[in-house]
Amino acid sequence: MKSDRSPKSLFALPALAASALMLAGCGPLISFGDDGPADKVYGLEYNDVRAASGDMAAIVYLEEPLMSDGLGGNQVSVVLDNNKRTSLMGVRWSANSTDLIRDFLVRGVGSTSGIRLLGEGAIDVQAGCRMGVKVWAFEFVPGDRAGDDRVDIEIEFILIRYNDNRLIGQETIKSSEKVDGSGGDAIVTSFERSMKAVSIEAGSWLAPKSADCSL
Amino acid sequence: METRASYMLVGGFVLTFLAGLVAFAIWIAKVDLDAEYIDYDIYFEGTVSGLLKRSIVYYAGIPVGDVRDITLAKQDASKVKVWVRVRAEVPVTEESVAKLEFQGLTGVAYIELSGGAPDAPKLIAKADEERPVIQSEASPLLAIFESAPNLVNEAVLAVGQIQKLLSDDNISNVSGLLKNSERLTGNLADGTEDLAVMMADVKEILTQTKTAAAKINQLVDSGNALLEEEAKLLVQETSKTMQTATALLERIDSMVSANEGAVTQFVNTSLPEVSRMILDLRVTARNLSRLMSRIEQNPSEAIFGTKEAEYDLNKRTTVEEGNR
Repeated sequence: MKSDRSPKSLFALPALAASALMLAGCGPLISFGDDGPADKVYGLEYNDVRAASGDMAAIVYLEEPLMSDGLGGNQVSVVLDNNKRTSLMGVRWSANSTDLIRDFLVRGVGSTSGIRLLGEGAIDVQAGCRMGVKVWAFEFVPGDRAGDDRVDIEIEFILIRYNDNRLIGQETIKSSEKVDGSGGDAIVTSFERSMKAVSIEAGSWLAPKSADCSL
Repeated sequence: METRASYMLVGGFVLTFLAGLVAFAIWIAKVDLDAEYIDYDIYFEGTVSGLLKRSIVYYAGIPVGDVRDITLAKQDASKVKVWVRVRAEVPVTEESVAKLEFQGLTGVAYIELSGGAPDAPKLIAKADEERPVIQSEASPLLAIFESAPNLVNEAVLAVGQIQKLLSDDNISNVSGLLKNSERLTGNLADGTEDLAVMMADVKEILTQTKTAAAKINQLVDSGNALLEEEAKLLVQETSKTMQTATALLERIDSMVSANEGAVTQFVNTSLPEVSRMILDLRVTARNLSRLMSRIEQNPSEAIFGTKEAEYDLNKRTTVEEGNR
């Protein structure tokens, strides 16, 4: 009896089997995620937007923040004793912390200083100054018990005028907020309070420099 | 027989003898009966040793008077007042100066008057002066005599120093020095032969330099001629080039004028944008560099991530990845 199978079909089955074996072999190498509970994802937003505007006479372009090593990424950075660092389990940012901080500062500093700040997407807009941002601390510091937890933020601002590349000012602002409660919600709320405090202080520092950044 | 003496003859003889005696005395005393004299006072500072009464007063080397008296000055005992008598025709004026001089080294002193212009006012006594006072001047010779003792002492010291200088050791050293000098001069004399050779070489070099200078002159002359001939052509070429450059600049200028708005926009907007883009690229490059370093050091860790503990809020401790 003559078989009616074509030569192609004769090779297809072994090839399919070999591909399945190879894919199974890659399991230990490529992580496809664990089976544990899903992470809680949080954003960082400045909600008190009064005029995200400010005077058009002075425009400052806010650069992408430069993060100290270990602070970038989606994970929430944790500082333990003896300068040990790790990340918070089960909690992560909705985007890279660099983008979150920049967007928060654009709104926060812009509304408190009265100067129009531009961030991502406004790269081709003529501005009087650019403001460099260096994030030295953006971390959760757990205490011995839940009531001792806190959030530390330290950001350095460098204001440079475009016309002559002259350094208009340089300021480092720190903020430390106690975490009221436990869990990711309380921690992120403390991050927002701390970032708001930094924004208000940065706005007060930036406001008198409006004339230096006028167009 | 009684001697008959001629009293008239004896008397005449005696009178003649006495007259001759008086004349002789006058001649001996050198009394110049016709001469007229004027008395002066001279005040000398310090000693007038060697000066005596009757010492001679000279004017221009001519004896014109003598010293009448020597006393201490009444007003100042450190001065000596000398009263001299000088012939009236001697021109003693207010500018005349009296100086104490010595004849050779005998110590005999005399007074020398000098100076005074012929038309200067004649010296007369002032109201409080007994006689006119001639101003005095210290004699250089007297200064030498006064300092002579010091000179002798210094000479004795000098002789002592010379004796030390001429000690046996120094003489030995000088002898060695002379020997060395002799050797040095000998070597120099030997070296003069080489010097002669060197001078001959220098002379030859100078000759060659002279020849070279002459050739350079010829070259410069040729260059000058060449420049004169080619200068006009060069100027023409330069002029043409300048005209071309001017035309080019005019075209560029017109092009810029026509696109002034675009150029301004580029400068105002695009340049800052480029600047920001460069900054972003710098950050990106830095991140890529870090990633490459991680891949080089540990490729699997770079691809699959690092194994690290996470902080568990509930347990309030770090938990390894495998122990969750």
